[in-house]
Amino acid sequence: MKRNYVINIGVFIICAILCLALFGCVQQVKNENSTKVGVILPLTGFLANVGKDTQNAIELAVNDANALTKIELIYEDDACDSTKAVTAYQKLASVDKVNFIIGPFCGQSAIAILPLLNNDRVISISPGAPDNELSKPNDYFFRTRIPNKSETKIIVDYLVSKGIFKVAVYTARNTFGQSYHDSFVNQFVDVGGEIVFDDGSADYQVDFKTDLLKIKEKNPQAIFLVPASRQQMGIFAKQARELGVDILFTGGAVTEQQDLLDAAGIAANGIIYPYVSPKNMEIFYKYVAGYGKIPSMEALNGYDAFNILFGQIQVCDGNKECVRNNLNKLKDFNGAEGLISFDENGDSRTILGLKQVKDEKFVLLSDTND
Amino acid sequence: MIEAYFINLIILVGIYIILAISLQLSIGFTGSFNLGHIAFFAIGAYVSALLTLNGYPFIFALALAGIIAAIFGVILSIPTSKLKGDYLALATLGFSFVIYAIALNWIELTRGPLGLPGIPKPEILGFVFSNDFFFMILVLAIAFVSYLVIKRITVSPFGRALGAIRDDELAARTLGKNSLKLKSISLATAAFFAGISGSLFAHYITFIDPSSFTFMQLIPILAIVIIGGLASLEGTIIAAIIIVLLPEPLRFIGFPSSVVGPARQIIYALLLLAILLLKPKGIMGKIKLE
Repeated sequence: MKRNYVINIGVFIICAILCLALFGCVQQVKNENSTKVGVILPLTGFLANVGKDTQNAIELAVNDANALTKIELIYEDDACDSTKAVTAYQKLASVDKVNFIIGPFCGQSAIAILPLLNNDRVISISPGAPDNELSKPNDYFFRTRIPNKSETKIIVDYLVSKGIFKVAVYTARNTFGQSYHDSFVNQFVDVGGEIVFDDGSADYQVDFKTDLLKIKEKNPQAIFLVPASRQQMGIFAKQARELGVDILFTGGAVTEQQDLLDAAGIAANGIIYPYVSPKNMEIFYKYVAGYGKIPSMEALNGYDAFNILFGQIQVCDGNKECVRNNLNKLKDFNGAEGLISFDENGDSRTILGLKQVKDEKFVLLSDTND
Repeated sequence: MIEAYFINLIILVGIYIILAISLQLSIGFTGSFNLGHIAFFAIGAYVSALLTLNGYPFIFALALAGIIAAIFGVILSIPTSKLKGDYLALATLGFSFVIYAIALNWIELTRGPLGLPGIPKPEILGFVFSNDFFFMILVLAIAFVSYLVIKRITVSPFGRALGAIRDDELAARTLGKNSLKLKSISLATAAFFAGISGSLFAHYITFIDPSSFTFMQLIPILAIVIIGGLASLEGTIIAAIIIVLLPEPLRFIGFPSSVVGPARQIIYALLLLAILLLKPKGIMGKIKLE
């Protein structure tokens, strides 16, 4: 009796999956002439929310460009895991035979598939992966995300201009955070700054009080803060204010996310971070109207990545070497995140300014001219 | 080029088979609930990656990856020799956290969270395995040899002594078996093969960072061992194939793009649950999990 019950459950699950598969096949009737574009994002795991934001923005871009019939997007999830990214890539490249990929979003995934991209001559534009490791010339990898070193430079300049030379550094203990960490520390020490505290957070950490007490003891004038996610950043800021750590907080360009405000509330006030200038506010508000929250920088980068790729696919009629040549020469593309040019490393060159969190809003920093 | 996708999956299956059958030797055949296996995998990956990045030949790096992992296996077996069950699980879990912390924080050696990119493809006697097809053959050959060696161990008198320790350690010792030595050799052998698979993993993905060796990465391997059935190598191999390949058909189900990530994960978890409900002892399990 019990055994029958168990078998029934099994049969039910298998039937349910078959139905879904059938439903999927019905859905997958697509235009034969459309160009397939693979999208590798973290749709599960600790960056799932950012991956989702980026996915929303890409869909928005598809709608805005009227590309629904010309482009077929195939999503794969890598959960920011290099092994899963390789499998996702192999599926896209060999089964779907895509020539173009948006992503991977995470640095470790991008580093793992970079040799494969170059080998298979598949063009990828990533909306994320700011790791310095990826700044290499002559490859098939581009990114609409500014590299870490450009971001940290403007923060270091700001700190120096304010006479701040004693800083605590707190970054994620993953490739993303470490890349920020190394850029910041190198640039700051070069101008004579002193790092009085240097540690980092694990991907799922939510309690920062021990580290905060250590920071308080060292008495820095400011802190450079880039944890793995913006929720973590918010929780960190909140716990810092609770423990009376009332120093200047600085972050990376990733700071501008709804998640930060949701997690920190008023504790987020005063955080200073670099941003891309000028922004296309029309797209910004369209995103807010569509999804009920402000787009993160990653989301806007995703919007731009799609538009840049789509534009070149149209121009070159899907010829990938032509697309690659044009991307190498891309100059002043008018995107959601300002004017985008790719340099010889395939990195986005844009103008940066500073913003701050004020009254739980992201506003321009009032005492800089940009 | 559709085969590139299948070759990739077969390579991953091969790596997981080596990792899981060696864990099976430890858990299923010796009865030590060892959660430090991912640490041996990490040691193998890092040793091999660092050696080849510094110009040593692949064969040397592969062998040393296994040997150094085995040495760590012996080292781990000494303080944990008197522990059983949950206590052993916790102690070995602690070991895996220690290795993870070293990989993360010894930045001069391991580059910490930045990981080690650009690990070269294997080269044996001048033949470079740049083509994944040849790499697949290499992995399958090593997996097959690992299977033969572990199979030979488990059916030998030595393997029967391990089984005796698993079923009743006190009785085995009364009969004059040196349980400390036997468990130590068993753990070292398991660690050796984990190190070998770590080396293959590093040279296949060509990039390793500490996030590939967290406790979360141990869960699928543990799932393979349990779903395969304790003390069954053949079951473990079948389970490795199932666990690695099960998520793949789900890629071809056309979920609405808004739920594509979570939906695949949920169905994967449900399928695993269904297998365990239908086969509570695992696919070919011979003994019960206590």
